[in-house]
Amino acid sequence: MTPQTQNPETEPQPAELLQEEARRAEYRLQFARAWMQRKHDEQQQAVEEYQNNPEKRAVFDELDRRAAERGTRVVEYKTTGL
Amino acid sequence: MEQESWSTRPPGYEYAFLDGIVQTYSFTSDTAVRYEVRFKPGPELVDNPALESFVFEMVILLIDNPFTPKLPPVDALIPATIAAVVTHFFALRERAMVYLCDDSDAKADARRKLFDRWFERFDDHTFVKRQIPLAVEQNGTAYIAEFVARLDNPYLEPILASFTRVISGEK
Repeated sequence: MTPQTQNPETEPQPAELLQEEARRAEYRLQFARAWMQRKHDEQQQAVEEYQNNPEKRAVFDELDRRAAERGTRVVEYKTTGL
Repeated sequence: MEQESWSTRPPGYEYAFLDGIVQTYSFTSDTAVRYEVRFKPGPELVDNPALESFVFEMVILLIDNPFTPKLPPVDALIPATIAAVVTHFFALRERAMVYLCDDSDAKADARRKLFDRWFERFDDHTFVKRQIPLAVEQNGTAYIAEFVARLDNPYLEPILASFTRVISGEK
């Protein structure tokens, strides 16, 4: 069995590894929080956009009109054959 | 037992598709709840410029909810509608999407399970889905990303590897 050798000047020490792991965990947490915050902001903006943008409302009005014409909102989807 | 598949999927709500930098799908439920499903370019989600144009973030937005402050009632047609939207979006096989489950009302885990269920219900092995844990808050709230791509996406592994590096802070 070959003995394991370690050069303390080049190999990361346990304390350094723990520090690196903690840094990455903190990075992931901040990344996830920022992402979630962007999602919440977008949800709020989307509601305001719908309330204030006539073009946005027109899209839904057209869906309503077509549904009224058909008598249902439900449709059969065309197959795409992916 | 006959398995449902994306090519024999059940009916759902009619949607309107708006092509653009952000791909937007709008629909209204029978209970008059209005939704938008957006696929937004996510160049910040990968560290390889060659892959940037293929990566999107999917968000499902509640545009108008007549039941506010309550959440809309459960609607069996919505999973089928979202499945149809996702299929339409993935007509271009090189695309990949990431979805972050929302924790705004402490029902993130329930939403993630819902996402898993509709994916499993409608997938006929055309797609691959990976669940990627991001982080956990001290109060136990977990942030989990869902990664979805077509199995025949030629960039599947490079995109997934790149995304994993970005969220891990390895770049």
